Amino acid sequence: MTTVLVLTGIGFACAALIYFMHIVLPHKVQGLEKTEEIANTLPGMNCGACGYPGCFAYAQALTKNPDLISESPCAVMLQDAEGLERLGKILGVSIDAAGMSKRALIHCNGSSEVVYDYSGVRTCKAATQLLKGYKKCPYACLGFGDCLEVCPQGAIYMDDEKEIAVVDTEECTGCGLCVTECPQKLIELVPEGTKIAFLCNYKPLKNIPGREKCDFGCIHCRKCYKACEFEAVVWNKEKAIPEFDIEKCTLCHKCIDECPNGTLADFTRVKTAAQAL
Amino acid sequence: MNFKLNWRGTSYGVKLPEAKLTAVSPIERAPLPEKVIITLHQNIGAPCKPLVKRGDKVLTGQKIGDSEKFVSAPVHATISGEISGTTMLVHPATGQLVEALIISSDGTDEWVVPEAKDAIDTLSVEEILKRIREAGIVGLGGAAFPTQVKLSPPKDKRIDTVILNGCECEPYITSDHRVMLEYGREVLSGLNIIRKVLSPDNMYIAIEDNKQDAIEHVRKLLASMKLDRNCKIVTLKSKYPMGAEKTLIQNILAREVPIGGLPMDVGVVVHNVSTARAIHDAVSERKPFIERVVTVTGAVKEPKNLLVRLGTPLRDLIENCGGIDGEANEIILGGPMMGISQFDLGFPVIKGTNCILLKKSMQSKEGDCISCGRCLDACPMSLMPTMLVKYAKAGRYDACKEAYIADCFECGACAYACPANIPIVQYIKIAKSELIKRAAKK
Amino acid sequence: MTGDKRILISPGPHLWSGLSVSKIMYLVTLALILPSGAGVYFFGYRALLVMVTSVATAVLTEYVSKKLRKRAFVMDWSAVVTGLLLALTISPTVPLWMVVIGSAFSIGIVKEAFGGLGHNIFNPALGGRAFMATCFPAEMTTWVLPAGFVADAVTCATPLNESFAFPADKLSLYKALFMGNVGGSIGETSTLLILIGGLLLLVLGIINWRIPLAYIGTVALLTFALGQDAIFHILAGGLMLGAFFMATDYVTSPITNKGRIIFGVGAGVLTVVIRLFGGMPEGVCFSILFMNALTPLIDRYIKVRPYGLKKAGEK
Repeated sequence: MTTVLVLTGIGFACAALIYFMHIVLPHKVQGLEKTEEIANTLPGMNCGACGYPGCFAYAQALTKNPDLISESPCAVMLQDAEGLERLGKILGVSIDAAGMSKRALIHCNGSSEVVYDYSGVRTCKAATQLLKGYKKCPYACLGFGDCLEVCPQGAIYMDDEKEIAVVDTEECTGCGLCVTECPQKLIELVPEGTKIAFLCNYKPLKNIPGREKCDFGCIHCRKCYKACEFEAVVWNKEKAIPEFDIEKCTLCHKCIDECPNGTLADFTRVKTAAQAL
Repeated sequence: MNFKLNWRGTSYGVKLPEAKLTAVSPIERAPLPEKVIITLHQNIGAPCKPLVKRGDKVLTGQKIGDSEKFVSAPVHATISGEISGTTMLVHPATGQLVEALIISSDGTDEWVVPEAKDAIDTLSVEEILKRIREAGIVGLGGAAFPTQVKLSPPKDKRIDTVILNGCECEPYITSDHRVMLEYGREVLSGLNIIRKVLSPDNMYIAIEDNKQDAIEHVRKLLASMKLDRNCKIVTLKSKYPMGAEKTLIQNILAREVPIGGLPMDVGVVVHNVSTARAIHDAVSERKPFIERVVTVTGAVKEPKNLLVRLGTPLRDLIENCGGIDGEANEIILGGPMMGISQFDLGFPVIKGTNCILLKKSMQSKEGDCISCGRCLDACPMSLMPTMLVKYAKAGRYDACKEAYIADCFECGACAYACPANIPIVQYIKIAKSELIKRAAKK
Repeated sequence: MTGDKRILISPGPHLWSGLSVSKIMYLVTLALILPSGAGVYFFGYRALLVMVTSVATAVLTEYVSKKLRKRAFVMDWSAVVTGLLLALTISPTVPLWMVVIGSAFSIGIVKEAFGGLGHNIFNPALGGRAFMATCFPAEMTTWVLPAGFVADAVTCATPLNESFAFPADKLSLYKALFMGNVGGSIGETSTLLILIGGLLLLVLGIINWRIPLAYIGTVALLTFALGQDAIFHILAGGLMLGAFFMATDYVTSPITNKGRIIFGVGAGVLTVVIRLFGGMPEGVCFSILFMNALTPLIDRYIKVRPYGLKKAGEK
């Protein structure tokens, strides 16, 4: 009988304690209401692409400095006009999404020959450390897919035949995580409306013993430059590569057709273009 | 004088097959190459800037690249001829692209007029250091750290011990062994110069017990050169990695270099025997460092120890040794443990190249770690390699840092012993470079 | 280079000891043949049948689970070791279908479900034995007297049981225990052959001496301190088999040498506690399993002092 009483007593005492604590403790963390509100608008995937360790940390930074949204915008939010508007209201700033949205572009068409076998850890990072990878071009995409691993959208996939990574431009939000991950540094963020993709990570390549320039990269023939009727192709003399003017380009595909090596592709169709090459 | 070993456990390290195929082959002078490729970045430290341009005529021993930085070493033309072009090479150690100059030989091997020789006793320390620096000497044991930097410790650090490293614990390599036997006098003269610079209390020459002939030879020379009063020969058990700087200090002096520190923090400087020889050549003979002994071994018809000019393409050396024998599919610059694979025979010998090894690869698949602890027993730094690999695989590079990854000098003893054949060293290298990248970002 | 074969680039080191996981497991299997032989010698064909069943089930289960998980099946002998160890820890009279269930549980649940070799928390053979001991308590504790190949088996008590009739002559008891002429599990009776097998593994460098020494030493000291017959406790039961072949399992024991000693001492203390104060006659199985569970904790806190790290308090 005493046992029952004692146990019941303990039970009630604990219940009282829990109830008391429930009343005493604040339900909302004070001073963080705004941050929480911001965090609720953010995508909440904690991808870390903004440079902060997760969405809540980003929200905290935004609370302190609302202008941050234009300096280092949340790439995922930029895809969502409605959410962006809501966020702008909370922050009290107007957000101009146009021009900020980016897409990742992998500057390689993957046709570089393989010059030696590689055994070791099968990641790009590891392979780059050993003589810059196993392909003829030391700047080529190695195709072990380090970028696949970090992409929060799953927008990068492997082209098994060519052993390169390809970005699905529709899925990509331009967060830039792959850009920092790629040890070959061949991913670049380009404006969302880019029309022509330049698929070569050309760097001035002298005759490296055992390695010549990739046969499928840009050979600086300027054919694309000459072919364009709308002056949309600008020749970068310093790097000896073409650059493309988004405004003037009409996507007539003339430059793509003219390119002898298939280094150019329709950006919106990089996915299919890479497969077709 | 033999020393009793003072090591907290001779159980560290691994016993390797020796395979010293060329231990009794005398050093042969390789014929002059038709062209040499001199990379402008051969050592730890800053890369050199070229002092010559395409079309310039150069003489053997002429300085063709230099840097203003303290931690750097100039490079010299190793044959006479014309600069026929420049090229880019992937530096085997750093994996970075570096510029290189190509010199086409005129076949005469005409030297620059050597400067006057003088007695070492009359030279000041500054003059000696200047000559070492001008000769472009770097540590020839493999790390290629500029020698004059090692010889100029900060004022507050007193160097009381100099260790001359003749261990050569890696299999196959015999270049230091042969240098001790055939250039023993020069080696000891180099040691004498080091002594003059640092004025240490004690000097040791460390040799592994598998090189008895070298021990005897050096002992006799020490006596004849009257150096035996403050220089002792230490015979060490042959085990890998016995010749590593830090294990050597621990073994001989029972001192431990603090984590992240240098041997000079405990008053010790370690030099390789070949470096000592190069110091002698530079200071006494006034010859820049343009040739070194390279062991060409493994799957070649006649394995040899060759005295070669720096920049000689590997192809020339392998042809000199009768070409490739059998089914070798790996070219390794350096020894089998710490050497780095090359894929092209056009790659030149650089300052740190002590061996060219051709072998058939033993490809096998990476398995799962079974926590057997063999890597822990093998690690000379008493790290926990398997934990480092686990952290590196998971991308927890900060955890790697806390587990003292920076202290690993990538000797490869762990990966040698690993039953699951995990490329431990490669994982550690990835983690290290990732940590460097992160530190640079901050 | 040679012909049109491409050159291979591989990370250093370019040498390998060649002592692979499967070679290690193969050597353990070889060492286990000694106690297995003793089992067959003492308990006859029936013991052999149990062993063959257990090993075959283990290998088959490994194959099936690898296929289910879409991994490559490598015949690395580890399943053989598990199957054989399981057979050695059970009585020769256990029905074969129970052996099949136990063996399949060992590999399928204790090992593969955790991720296969290298990822399991518990020793698979002991996990399987513990499972069988819980499911079939009666069959698992029916022991027979060694009868060789001729006579019918006669049930008896294991020496650790309370009902075991101690012979008056201690020396003959020790001798019987040492040679293995007592009732018990198939492989645990002959201390002599287990010792030979264990020493073989020690000499070959397959197992570390720390765990067996710490384990057996602790049991001896503790039983002696508690006024028990220390030699009897070392020789009887599965202590020797457990100390040499099970506690030393790489995957489920600590990786540091210090940790291994802690592991051995812990298992020793638990074994004595279970034997003297617990409800079961034998404690080796559960004590090792318990220490297996503690292994990640030991590995977390027991670290090696890296070269050059100053000890606390040292200047």
